[in-house]
Amino acid sequence: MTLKKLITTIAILLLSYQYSFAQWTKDKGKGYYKVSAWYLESDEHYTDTGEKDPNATRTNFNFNFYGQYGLTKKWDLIAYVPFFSRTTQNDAVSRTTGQVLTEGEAVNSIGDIDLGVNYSIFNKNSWALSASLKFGLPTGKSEGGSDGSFQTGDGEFNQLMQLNLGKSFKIYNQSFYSKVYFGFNNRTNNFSDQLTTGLELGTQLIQNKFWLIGRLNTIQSLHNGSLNAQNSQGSIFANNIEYVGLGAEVAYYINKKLGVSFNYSSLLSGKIIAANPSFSAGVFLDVK
Amino acid sequence: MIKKYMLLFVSLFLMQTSCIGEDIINDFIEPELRILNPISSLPVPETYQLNTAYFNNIGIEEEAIVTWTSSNANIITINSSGFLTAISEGTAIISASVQENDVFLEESFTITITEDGTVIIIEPIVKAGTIATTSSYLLTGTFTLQEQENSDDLLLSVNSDYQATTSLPGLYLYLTNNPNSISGAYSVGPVSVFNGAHTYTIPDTNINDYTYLLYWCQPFGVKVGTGEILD
Repeated sequence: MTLKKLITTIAILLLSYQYSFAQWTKDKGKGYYKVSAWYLESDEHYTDTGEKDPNATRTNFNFNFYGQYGLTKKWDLIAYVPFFSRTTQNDAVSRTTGQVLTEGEAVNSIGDIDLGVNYSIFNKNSWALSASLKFGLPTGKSEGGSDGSFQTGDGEFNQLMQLNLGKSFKIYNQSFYSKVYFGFNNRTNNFSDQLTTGLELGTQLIQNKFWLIGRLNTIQSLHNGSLNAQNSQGSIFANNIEYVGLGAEVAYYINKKLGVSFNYSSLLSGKIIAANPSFSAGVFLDVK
Repeated sequence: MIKKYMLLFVSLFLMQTSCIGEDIINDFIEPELRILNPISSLPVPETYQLNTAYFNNIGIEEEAIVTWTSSNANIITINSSGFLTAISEGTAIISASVQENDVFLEESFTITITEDGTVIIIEPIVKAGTIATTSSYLLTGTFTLQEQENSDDLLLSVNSDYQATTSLPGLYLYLTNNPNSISGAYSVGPVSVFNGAHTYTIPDTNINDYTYLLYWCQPFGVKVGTGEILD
């Protein structure tokens, strides 16, 4: 990627996978905190026609903190902080001569931070409805490397408003929860705004011990931003990124609070975005 | 327990901060010997210096020992440095060759020697080609590349049928001898026109120096399309 500003979408994708695996807001003083390592290695990307094309191999790696803290019974504070992000590109080596044709590069920095709140509108019986407001802060590096194409952020401030509807239920005595969400991401710096939708389904395979969660996420561009190659000469910023992503997470509670989780996410389709799957592994603290 | 996971994270950190991998590029092309400034006629008793370039199997110019021959030394002679001397009226074939390892390459052209005092009018050479996408991105059109009178610059004219995607970030245009690589290529610069006719001036360049237009996505590190420069 990279291919660029794939990072933007990757960050959104990543954040969408960082939620604690539940549909409800936290109670006052309760929280969910996770430190993760996330990795994407991309040697192909979806083009603007939705087809896959090859690209120079880039890796994106970050260490991040995700936290959700219950300010009150209804209000949660949410933070996603990629405190170390690294983007690299491989050396291009001639198959014919073995010579390095283009030196690889690496850029390290902090990534774009997301801060927000979650408000419980309704929580009764097995249903829960909440609204989220998240601010994407351009704290990452929007240009880096010899050609400026190594970024750990998109350089724009965005505001994501989202409604989340969740329900818990049982099938043959097996407990499940499901969550659907719909959001609008208002982007600045001439980027197009985005619609985000998602579906999450989770179950406890072992009571209070082992969770399995599946997620389907989409981002659709409203194509209302003027940023394109025509007016950003030589820029590496791609606008109008879209995708349909599928992910799975397993989480294991080592004790009542501490656990580990592993996440795999891949795209079913997309436009101007890396086509390879990403992985993350984390340690979480669930204060109930 | 916490220490164990911290150790895992530190290990991942060290792994990630240490390594940059390699992408292997299929960049083989057939080596080529090119006569850069052939002429079609020369009056007696004038002289003319020919120049060549040898491009290796990845399209990079390399030094090579060139052997020159004239098919008829009574009409025109050529020395080991490629220096022509017109002797008498007639037609001859001038050849240049190189032997690099087990590869033998030869390039030749026909020259007509005219009578003393003939005025030779040299027209600027014009080459042309078609731009075609090699990716999923829209890129199409035709172009001409031509010499400029009283100048060492070339004029690259992309015609009105040209169209390129505006979705692709970091699109650059190169002149190259290897359509699979920008190694050794001349960077014309970032593409700023995505529809219709436009021109580029290529300074201090021989019209036979390059054989392809190459559209390259800089951040993705891949070619988007090419156009072979044809006579």
